[in-house]
Amino acid sequence: MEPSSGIVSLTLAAQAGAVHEADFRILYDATSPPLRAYLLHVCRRPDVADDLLQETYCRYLMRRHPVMDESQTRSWLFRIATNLLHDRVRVRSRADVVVPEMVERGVAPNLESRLDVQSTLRQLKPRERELLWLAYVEGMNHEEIATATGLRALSIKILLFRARRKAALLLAPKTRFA
Amino acid sequence: MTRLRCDQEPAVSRAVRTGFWSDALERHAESCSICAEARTISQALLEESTRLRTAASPGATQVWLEARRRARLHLRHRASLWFRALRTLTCVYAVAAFAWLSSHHATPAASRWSPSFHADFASLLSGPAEILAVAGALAAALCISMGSWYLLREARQPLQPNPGR
Repeated sequence: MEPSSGIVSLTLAAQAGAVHEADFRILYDATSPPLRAYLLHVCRRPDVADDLLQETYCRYLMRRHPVMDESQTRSWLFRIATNLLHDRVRVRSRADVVVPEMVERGVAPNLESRLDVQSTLRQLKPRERELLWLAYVEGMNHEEIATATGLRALSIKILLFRARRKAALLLAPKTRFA
Repeated sequence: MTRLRCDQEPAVSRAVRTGFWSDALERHAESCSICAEARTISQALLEESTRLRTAASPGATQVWLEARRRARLHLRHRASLWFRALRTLTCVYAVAAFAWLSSHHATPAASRWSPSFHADFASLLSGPAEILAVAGALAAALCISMGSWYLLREARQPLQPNPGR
């Protein structure tokens, strides 16, 4: 599989301290869309998400890391992105803003229900949004989530349970009437 | 006792993502409250994910160039450590030289203000070597200051992003 081999060669090259642009492009094309969606889902601001995305890859390229497979590279990138998100929250604890661009691009026949789901998900805490996204969109197991978030695997189990219950309660009326 | 998770939860989440449901999994998701919740959340998040992934992200080239620019800045910052240390030493040297010169060639008023200070420094150097020593100290201070200033001015200039390849 082309992207996988590119990612492996990139991680090997990164360890050796020489990453080529072609390898980076393969890695970036394979990993940036889900990573950006994750950042955007948690921070809710496209401009911030783009900044953090760029920062994530810059940090990845500037650091030497151990040899990693595709899954580990993905977890590593999510780890950097999550740390950057937390730093951002620490520095500026801004309230979530409904971004016009996000609403406009969601134009669809069931726009109203989509906006309902969006506003519901926005009621979750950033940490809860992170955990749910990594578990249910990225399909990560508890160990991978622990790697990506810097939390202990045992804590993930409980935090994910709470986040799932909360999200299910919030989403229940929306899905019932949708 | 409240169950924190179900073993079938990842399978349910995967089935929502792929759209492939086996009959057994479908039946399980209907009977298990945890998997029902996982299904609801997965569907909502997947919809959100599909929408968010359509937005254009920064290009790989842009990120690559930015990373290279930062790497160069980082290297330059490390390289300029010696120059900054040199600047500090220059400042110390300049202050010491000024103190020595001002005490050695102090005006009578300054001598009166601090006679002991003047005497201490004056005793360090005297005679024909004095002019040579003073000239050498001034020349050294001038050279170090000019060199440090030039190098530090170069180091402070930020690298401009490279618009092309």
